Amino acid sequence: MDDMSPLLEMKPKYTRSHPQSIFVFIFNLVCTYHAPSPPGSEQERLEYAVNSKRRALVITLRWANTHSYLLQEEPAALAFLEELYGSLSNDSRVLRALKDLVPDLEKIIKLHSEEAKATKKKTLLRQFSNGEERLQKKQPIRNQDDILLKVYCSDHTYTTIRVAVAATGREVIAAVADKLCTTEELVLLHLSSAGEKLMLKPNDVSVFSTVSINGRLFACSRGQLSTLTPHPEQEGPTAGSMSTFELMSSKDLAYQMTMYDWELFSCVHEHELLYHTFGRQSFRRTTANLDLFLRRFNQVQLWVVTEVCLCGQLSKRVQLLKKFIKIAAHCREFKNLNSFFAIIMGMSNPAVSRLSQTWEKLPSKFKKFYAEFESMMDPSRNHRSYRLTVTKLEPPIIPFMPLLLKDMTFTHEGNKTFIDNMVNFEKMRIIANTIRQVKHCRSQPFNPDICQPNKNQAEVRGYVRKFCVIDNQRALTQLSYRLEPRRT
Amino acid sequence: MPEQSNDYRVVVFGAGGVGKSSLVLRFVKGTFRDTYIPTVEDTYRQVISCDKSVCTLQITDTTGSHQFPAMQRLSISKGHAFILVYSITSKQSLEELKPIYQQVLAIKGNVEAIPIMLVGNKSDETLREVETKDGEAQANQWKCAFMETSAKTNHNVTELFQELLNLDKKRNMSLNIDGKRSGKQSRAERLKGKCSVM
Repeated sequence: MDDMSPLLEMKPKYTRSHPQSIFVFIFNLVCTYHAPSPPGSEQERLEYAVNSKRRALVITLRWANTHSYLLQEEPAALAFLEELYGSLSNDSRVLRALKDLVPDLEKIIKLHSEEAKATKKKTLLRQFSNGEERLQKKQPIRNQDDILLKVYCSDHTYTTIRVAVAATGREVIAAVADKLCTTEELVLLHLSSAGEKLMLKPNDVSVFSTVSINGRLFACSRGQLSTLTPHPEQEGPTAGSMSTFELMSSKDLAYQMTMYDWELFSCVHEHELLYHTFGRQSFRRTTANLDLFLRRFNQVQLWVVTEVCLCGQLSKRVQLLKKFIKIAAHCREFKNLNSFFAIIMGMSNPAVSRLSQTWEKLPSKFKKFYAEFESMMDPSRNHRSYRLTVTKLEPPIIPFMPLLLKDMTFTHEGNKTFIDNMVNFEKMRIIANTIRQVKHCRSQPFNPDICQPNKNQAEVRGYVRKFCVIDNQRALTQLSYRLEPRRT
Repeated sequence: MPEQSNDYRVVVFGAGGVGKSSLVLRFVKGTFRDTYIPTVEDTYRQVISCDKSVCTLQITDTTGSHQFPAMQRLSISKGHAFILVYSITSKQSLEELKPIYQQVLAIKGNVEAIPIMLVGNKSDETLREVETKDGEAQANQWKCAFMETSAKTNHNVTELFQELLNLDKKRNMSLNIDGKRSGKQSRAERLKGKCSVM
């Protein structure tokens, strides 16, 4: 019974119509809790009652713990918990065997009712911008929060709108049209720095969270679509920042990157993995925290490529490669596999890996390190090399998130959710296994004392949170060919 | 980030609800709306002439609430000229400009070379709390220019922007692309009696 709790709430039939699912779930619990005892001796009847109630309570507690702050978005859930607490306080006077569960339930109710009151005031977020907000400690983005979005027009002016985090494409367009005082029919699209246009559908939820590193949201009429050009600032930097970070120690950089990754990883709610896999439209729930964490992976990767491609001097480029290998080594030491892989993948980007003159000059010691790191990325036998490494590590770990998501996607797409109108529990178990891995990775708190900070920590912290990158692969490749032209 | 060198950036500051967006919208689009939508940050573009060539006037409309100090600092450091707006119906709104002026002073250092216009908006309103001479006195103290406007009745709006451009002595700018002095501008000249340029 105990094992079923995460599965019960994942029955897709229920989750697709979320409001209903919660009522069915609560109803089941209430029925179990208040199940009438079958005829028998007084002793048997009491035992039966205690057992059913305990079962209902244990599942409720696990369910509440898994949902954590998401419970506050469900008034029915909070009401149910309070009602259950009322029944339990009464029953525990007679049924002493239930007493030990009272404080647990009390704790949960107290936490949520206080937090629900405190978070009534909507917060404003600009997490997806490059502003100073990045320096603040990350808090999870919740569905009821508001977000400020910059939406650009074809003439590169922008308007800032304020919408709910879970706002749909339709709602964003309506807000923009209202701001621009236009009755023209507008389309919303994502414009990448390379000029690729991706139309956003009116029923897409949380459209902003998948904006690429240098991508921007644009709104225009259909007629203007063909004339849209990326904003000049989307191109990214024209000079590298090596002069800034070569003075910072590799260990400090890895440490601050790990601190930031840990903050982002901690904000990801386990349910976001489900929304991501099953499609967030069907839940009308944001995956913003997960998207931010995934976005960071790309950002670190592009940071490596950008810095190398913007470094004109061969000897300096060799220094850069050495620096990145050192940072990667420290990330691995801090069990930050997300940034570790991002750096190694950045170095194996064609724009960097083709620079044979640079790689030739790299000392063999570093070449060996890099070869070893790269072998961990070997995808053969379903990433066996990486998986073996992770199982040997103790939490806290920052996992290589894209692989976990790939696992879930394959499980979802390769297995039917229903077989003969019955829930395919085997599939749910496999998905639950991946989520358990995420849970395991953060079952221990991150220890900030693993590194003795130098004096310039604030500077390092500021730097790693604001990497400026070029995210246009063609531009990066061009820069690379300029550094070391093709040999004829 | 490649700097667009032929952009002339004007930033509009002021307390919430004094009519910053209304002034900008009246100037750029010629429209006026009665409903109030709080602004976070919007930009607008207008083609003007500068030193006999064409350049873009970029107007940044800012938020009246003080929730975003970082955004405010950024717009000040990027701005070339500033419009500080209060409402003549609210003494408080003039008070609220003081920390903003101090901020501009702190970031730009020498404000005398920077075009700044103090604007008393809503001059069509009858329930006046700030007299014209109080506004002038404040402008005097701040060594900046002063004007009263009404976005609603379109009073002094174009004049405000032209006057602001005239204040910049390093460039020769005009709202008219052909660079000729039009009727509108000579009207601005005539109005100079009403607006005191310090």
